[in-house]
Amino acid sequence: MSRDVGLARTLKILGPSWAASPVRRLIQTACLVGFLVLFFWVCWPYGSKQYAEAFGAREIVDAELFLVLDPLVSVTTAIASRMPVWSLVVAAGVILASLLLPRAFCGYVCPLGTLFDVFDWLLGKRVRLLRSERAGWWTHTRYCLLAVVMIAAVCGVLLSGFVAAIPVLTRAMLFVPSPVQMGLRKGWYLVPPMNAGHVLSISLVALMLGLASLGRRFWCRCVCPTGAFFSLCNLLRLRERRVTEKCVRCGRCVDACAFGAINDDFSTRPLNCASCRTCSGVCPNNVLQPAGFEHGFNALWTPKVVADWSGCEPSCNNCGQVCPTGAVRALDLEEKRAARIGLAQIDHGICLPHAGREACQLCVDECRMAGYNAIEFIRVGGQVDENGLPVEGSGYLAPIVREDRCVGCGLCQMRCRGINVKSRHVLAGSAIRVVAGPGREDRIVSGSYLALNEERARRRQEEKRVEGAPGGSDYLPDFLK
Amino acid sequence: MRLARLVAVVVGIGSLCAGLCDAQSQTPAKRTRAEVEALIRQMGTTQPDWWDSVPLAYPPTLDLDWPLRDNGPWDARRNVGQYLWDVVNPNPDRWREGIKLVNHLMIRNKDDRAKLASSTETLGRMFHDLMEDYARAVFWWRIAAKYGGYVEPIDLAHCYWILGCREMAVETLSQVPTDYTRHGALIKLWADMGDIDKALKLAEEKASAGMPTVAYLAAGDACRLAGRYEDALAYYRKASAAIDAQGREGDVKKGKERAQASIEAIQLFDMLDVAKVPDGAYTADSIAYAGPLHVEVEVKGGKIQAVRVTKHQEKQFYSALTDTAKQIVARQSVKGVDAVTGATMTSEAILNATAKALAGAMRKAGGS
Repeated sequence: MSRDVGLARTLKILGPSWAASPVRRLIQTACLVGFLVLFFWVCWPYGSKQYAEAFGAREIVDAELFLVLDPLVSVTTAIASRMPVWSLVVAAGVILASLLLPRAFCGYVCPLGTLFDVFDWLLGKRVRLLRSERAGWWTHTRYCLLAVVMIAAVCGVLLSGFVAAIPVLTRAMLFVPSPVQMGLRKGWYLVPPMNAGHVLSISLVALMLGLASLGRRFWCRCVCPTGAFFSLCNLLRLRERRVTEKCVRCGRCVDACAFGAINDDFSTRPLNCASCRTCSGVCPNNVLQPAGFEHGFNALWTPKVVADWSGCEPSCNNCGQVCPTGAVRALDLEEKRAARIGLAQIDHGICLPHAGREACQLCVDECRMAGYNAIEFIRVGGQVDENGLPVEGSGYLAPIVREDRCVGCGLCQMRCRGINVKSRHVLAGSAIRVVAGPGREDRIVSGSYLALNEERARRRQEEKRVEGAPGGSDYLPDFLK
Repeated sequence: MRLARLVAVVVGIGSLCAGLCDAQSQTPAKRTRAEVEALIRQMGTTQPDWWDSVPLAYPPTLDLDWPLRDNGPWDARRNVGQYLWDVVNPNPDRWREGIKLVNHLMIRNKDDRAKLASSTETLGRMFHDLMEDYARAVFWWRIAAKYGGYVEPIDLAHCYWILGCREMAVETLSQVPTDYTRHGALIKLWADMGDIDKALKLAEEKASAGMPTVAYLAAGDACRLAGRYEDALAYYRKASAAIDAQGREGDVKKGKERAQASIEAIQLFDMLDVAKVPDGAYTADSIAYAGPLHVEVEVKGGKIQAVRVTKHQEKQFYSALTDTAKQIVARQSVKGVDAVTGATMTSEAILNATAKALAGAMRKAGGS
C-alpha cells in the first residue's frame, strides 16, 4: 500500500498527466523512443558496403512503421494515384482502432504529438506571453486543410505529405537532426548544401514550434489534418469517454487535456510521393536529396537523384524498402540493378580524352567496379604511320556508354566531378552526366526490369546483328583438323 | 598541372608494381617437351569453355572480306583490323566476341591462303595478348606458319617458357641473336627466364645499335626483377638520359617517362628503409577515391610509430582509413599490405602517401 502511494507520488512529480494516465505516458514514451531508434539507428545506412543486407538485418521493425500508421497518407495516396497502396490495410486497422479509442493515435502513438508534449513541458508552459487556451475560429483550420488535401487527392494531386503529421515530422528530422548526425559521425563535408526547399522546411518547423507556444498541442488541435481525419472518424465512434454525473467539477481534467477535448463544452509531381523524406534518410551518401522549387511547387521536397553529389550504390535498395506509399518501388537487389533510372551521356567537347587533353578512365573504372560494365573504351585521335598501321601510344582511349547496360546510377558522374572538377580543377563540370527522360529510363510500376531488359536485348540483337546463329562458327573447322 | 603529373606518376607506380609482382609470382610449372606438345594439341583442338555462350557480334558496317591491306582512310566501323584495334582490344568485355569474329572471318575467307595465314596469326595474337591462353596461341600460330604467315619467335618462346619448358624456349630463341624489337621483348624474356647476364648483354648491344632508351629501360626492369635495386636505378638513369639514333619518337618519350616513374617507384617502395628515417612526423598526400588524402607518419627510433589520415574526402569505408594504417605499422613497411576489400583506392592512396612521406624524409636525411 505504502509503495503504491510512493509510486503515485513519483508520478505526480513527473506531472499531473503521468499520475492520471501513466500507461498512456509510457506508451507515448515507448513510441517516441521507437521512432527515434528507427530514425537514427535503423535508417543510418552506413557500416557495411552490403547496404541492403545490413539494412535488412537492422530493420527488425519496418522503418516506415509510423508513416504507414498515419492513415491520411495512405488514404490520400491511394485516391490521388488511383491505385491501391499496401499500407491501406494498416490504415484500415488504425481507423478501426480509432473507432474504439477515439484519437488514440494522437494521444498514444504520434511521435510528433509526443514531441509537442515534451516541448510544452520544457518550454511552452514557461512562456506565458502568447498563451491562449481559448478556442477560436482557427480550431477549424485543420478541417479546411483536410478538405483541401482530400479534394486535391480526388483531383490527382497528393498534398497530404506537406501537412500530415508523420511526414511533417520525418521531414523536419531529415532537414535538421539528420545533417547534424552526418556531420558529427562522418564529417561535415558530407552534408549536402541547402536549397530553398530546405530553408522553407526548417522555417515551417520553427513555425510549428512557435504555434506550440500558443497553447498545448496547438498544432494537433488546430492545424493537423491527420488529427482532423481522426476527428471525422469519431463521428462513427463505437465508444467514447464522457464526463459522468460523478464529476465533482474540480477542473483538473480540463487542465490535463492537451487537446482541449474537455472544455467548457468540447506535374510532374511523383504521383505517390508524400515528401516524407524517409528515403533520403536511408540513402547512403545522400544520393537522394529533396528537390527545391526548381521543378515547381508540386515537386517540393520530393526525392531527386543528385549524381553530382553521389551515385546510387549497386548494393543498396533501401529507398524502395522504406517508401510508405510505393512512390519508390520496392525492388530486390537484382531487379534494382536492372532498373534504368537514366542514361549517362558524355560531353565529347570537354571529356579529357575525347577532347584530346589527357588520358582519363575514372568513369570506366567506376562503372566496372560497380559491376555494370556500361562504359567502355574507344580509341580516339590515333595516328597512322606511313604503312597505314596505328602508331602505338598515339591518341587516347576515351569512354563511350553502352546504352544496353547503363542504368543511370550516376557513379560515373560523381567520380568525374569529385576528381576532375572538385579536386583537380581541370573541368568546370562533370563530363559525364546522367540524363533522364523518355527512352532513357524505365519506370514500370509492375513487372520485372530484368525481363524488360532481356526483351530489349533480344530486339536489339535482331535489329543489329547481321548474320550467324547465336553460337557463331565452329571453333576448329574441319579443314584445319 | 602538378597534380595531374602526380596522378600519372602514382598510377604509373601502381601499375609498375603490379607488373613486377606478376612477373615474380609467375614461376611456371615445369613440363617436359612431350607434355607441352600434348597440352598445345589438347587445348588447341578444344574450344574454350565460353565459346558457345558468346554470340557472334559485330557492326553491320564491317567489311567481312578483310583485305590484307585496309583500303581508304582509318575507319574502325569498316576495317576489321582497325575495329579490333579501336573497339575490341581496349575492352576486356569484347575480347571473346572479338575472337569469335576473327575465327568467323578466318573460316569465311579460308580459300585465300594469305588471308588464312593472317587471320590465324591474329587469332594466336589474341589468345596470347588478350586471353593469356598460351597453349592456344601456339596452336594457332603454328597453323599461321604452315600457311606461310610470319610468327614472332620471341612470342613463341615466351609461350613455351610460360607453359613450363625452358628447353623449348631457349631452342626457339637460338634463332634470335639480337633484340630487334621496339620494346626490348627479347631482353625482358631472358630476364624473366632468370638469365640476367644474357639480358644485360643484349641490352648493351641494343643500346649501341642506336636504341639506348628502350634497351636501358629493359635492363633496369631486369635488375629490379632480380632485386638489384642500385643497378636498376643506374640503368633507369641511363635510359632517361640517353639520346637515341633510332627508334620511334613516341616509344622513346614513353620509355623515358617510364624510366622516371620506375626510379620514383624504387625509391618510394623498394629501397625504403625506415631505419634510415630520422625521428619526426612526416606528411604527404596522394589521390584517393574522392580526392586527395593526406597522411602523417610518425617515426621514432627507426620505427613507424603511427600512420594517421589527417585529411580526406572519402564518402565510405572508414575501415580502410584505420585498417591500412594499422597494417603499415604492424608490418613496418608499405609492401605486402592487403588493400581493404571494396576500398582499394583508399588503401592504395594511404600506402602511396605513406611511402612518399617516408621516402622524402629518407632523401632529406641522406642529403644532409
